[in-house]
Amino acid sequence: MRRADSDGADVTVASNIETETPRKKKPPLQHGYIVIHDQRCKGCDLCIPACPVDIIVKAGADSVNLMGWVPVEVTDMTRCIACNLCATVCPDQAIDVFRFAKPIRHGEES
Amino acid sequence: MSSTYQPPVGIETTRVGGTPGTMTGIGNTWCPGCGHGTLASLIADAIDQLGLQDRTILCPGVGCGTSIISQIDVNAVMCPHGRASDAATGLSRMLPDRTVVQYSGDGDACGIGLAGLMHACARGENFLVFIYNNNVYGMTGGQMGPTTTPEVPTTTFQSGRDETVMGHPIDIIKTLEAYPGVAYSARVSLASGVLVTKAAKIVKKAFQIHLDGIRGIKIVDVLGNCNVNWKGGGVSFTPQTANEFIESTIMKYFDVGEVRVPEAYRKPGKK
Amino acid sequence: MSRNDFRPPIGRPTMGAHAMGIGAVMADCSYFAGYPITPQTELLEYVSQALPEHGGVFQQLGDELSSVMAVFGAAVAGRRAMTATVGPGLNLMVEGLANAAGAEVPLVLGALTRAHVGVSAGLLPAQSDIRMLKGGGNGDYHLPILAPASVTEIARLTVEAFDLADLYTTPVVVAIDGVLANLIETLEPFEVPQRDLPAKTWSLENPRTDGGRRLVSAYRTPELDTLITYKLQDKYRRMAETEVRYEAEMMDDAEFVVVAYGIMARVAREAVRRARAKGVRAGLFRPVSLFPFPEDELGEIAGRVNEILVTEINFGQILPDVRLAANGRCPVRFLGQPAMPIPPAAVEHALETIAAGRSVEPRTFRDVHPTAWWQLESLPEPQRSAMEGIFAMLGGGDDPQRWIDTLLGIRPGTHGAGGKTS
Repeated sequence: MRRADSDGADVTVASNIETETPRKKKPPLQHGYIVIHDQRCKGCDLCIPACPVDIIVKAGADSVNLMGWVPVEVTDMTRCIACNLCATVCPDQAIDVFRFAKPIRHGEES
Repeated sequence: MSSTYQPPVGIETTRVGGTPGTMTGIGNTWCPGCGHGTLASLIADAIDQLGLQDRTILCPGVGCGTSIISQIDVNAVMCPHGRASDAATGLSRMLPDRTVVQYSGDGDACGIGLAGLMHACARGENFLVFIYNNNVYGMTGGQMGPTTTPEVPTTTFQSGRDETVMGHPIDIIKTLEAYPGVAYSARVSLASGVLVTKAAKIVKKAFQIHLDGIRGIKIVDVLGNCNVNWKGGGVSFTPQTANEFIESTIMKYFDVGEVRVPEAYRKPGKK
Repeated sequence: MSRNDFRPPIGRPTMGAHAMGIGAVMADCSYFAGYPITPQTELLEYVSQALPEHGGVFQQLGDELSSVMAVFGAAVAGRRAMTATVGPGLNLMVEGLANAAGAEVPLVLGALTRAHVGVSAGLLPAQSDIRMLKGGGNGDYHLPILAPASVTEIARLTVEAFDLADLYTTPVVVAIDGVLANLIETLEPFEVPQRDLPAKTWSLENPRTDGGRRLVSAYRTPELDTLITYKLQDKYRRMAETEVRYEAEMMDDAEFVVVAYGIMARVAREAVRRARAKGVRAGLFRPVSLFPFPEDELGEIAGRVNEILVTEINFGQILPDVRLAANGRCPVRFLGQPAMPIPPAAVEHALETIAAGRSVEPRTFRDVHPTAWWQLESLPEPQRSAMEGIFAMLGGGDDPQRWIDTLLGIRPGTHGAGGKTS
């Protein structure tokens, strides 16, 4: 699910809603989480299309870091699969990836 | 800002990716989206995994890549433009138990330093060479280089390399196929997450071959973007479109993959 | 006196170029890289055998630029390293030398100089690279230059050059002309002073420790580079205080002083003796270090003599240094020619001329015919006049360009952009 345009977050959300049937919504598995060091991020946005579950988006324009760049942020960490692709493509070592020993299924406990 | 996520308590987690421990943590001076940072990360990761931090000596030439000195926490010497192969020759001859790594750009290695590199390959010197091949002289602002492919816009040849005037780009990996002194040669690309993952394996393999005592040059040509300075003729790129351009255009000219692999490291059934 | 088990061939006839190699092996040089060029080849051939026998590495690389940079790499590894070349090769090496000076990396360069501008087919000995050796590359740096005048001194100063390089972390030049390079004379016993050399804490041979990695030449900001340039000037000032070397002979009552180095110092010594026999109170001042130049010492001499005569096998490459040292305290005359040592008779004649109160002119091509002139000078009188007559018949006249055209066998004015067309 690759996207050429970094501003296409809304489009993706819309397509998700389209393909998922609301009645049989399966809770996603969270395999881990990522930490974005937003002061290191230069906002090149390469991680946005690299993310296979599309949870990385550009932060709002008011989130400018000390270097003057607008970093990225995560919309929904519960869908992170800890695939490491975002950290792999990051040229600025701004993302650390952590994997859970056992994936968590959200929505089960509630 | 965004990093407010708190991981659930009581679940065992392991760090699977991120900044390699060998890196200094100093913020780099490369442009947003520049693959130099990615390649530095891959090299640092390989040094980390093989425990080479205390015995690696980095020899960057002159270019944007020189900044790698501030990025990887190993002994290093900055060499003049195009002379990294020669300095690495003297260093590796004097300190044969160290891992000497030349880090060059394509202008540094294939332009001004081509003679030194080819002679080092001919002599079968024992060090590693990483070339960040972005098809352009990035540090000086995007002039055409020896590896510039015809479609890449440059400031000196605005609509791309004019092959009637400037001939054809140099494929350094193919050129060096003729040299028995090259122990390992490969080309990788940093154009997508999948390709970077493959590149990481090849970078590590080059170090491993060196560590296993196989003499000769281990050279990896790394295709990366210069999204800021591919700008001739009014064309402009974002990091993402630049990476797509590598996949769609530059990789047509430069084949990605291993070319020279020592016998013991070949997969069965491959040459 | 040797830093290892090497025994120099004391008492044996030794070539100047070999003596440089002997000095390198004695100084425990670990790495030598070079590219053959006349007359440095004898040195290359010598170290190619001698160095590996004593634990060193010898390599012949693709060109002079590769050689000097490989030597830079070896020096960065904390080992003693050396290269050697001649004028046209030095053109290529200047890049590496400037970088080594800026990066403060110690290495030794043997400069065996020969004549002429650019590519020269003549291979004649001269001192024509001194100006380039003093700096030559970009930026405000200098290279210490040692100019020996005998085979024994070549060996001794080469060992000392390695010490100087380590002491001041800079490239050091041992400059000899082509005559000395191919001169064979007995290697006399010599002693090299032991100096306290600083430990090479900067070298990349030292293991990286936490927070203590070694970086050479990793200056990344204009501010740092500026600081380095200041630091270099401090170093040159310290050198000027402690590393000046010179020899003064027959100076006590001297009124006319010849300043000469290398082979010309030996020629000048003979000329000074002859002039003294004729009643001219002449003396000899031989700068051994061309940088740092013995400026104060020569300045003091300039204050008490009548005139100074500089002789070099070039057109005045230390002449500016002498003029600055004299600083107007006495007239400074110059006698030079592009190639081959000036004959003692010519220096003697110049001394007599200035002693008689007349001015000396630099030698022109009329003094030394552009072809076979060295044979001419040595010919006895009847043959010499006959040969000169033949040259005159060839029709060279007073114009060097006409001589060049005649010798090339082409129509006058068709050779060289600078040729006269009239």
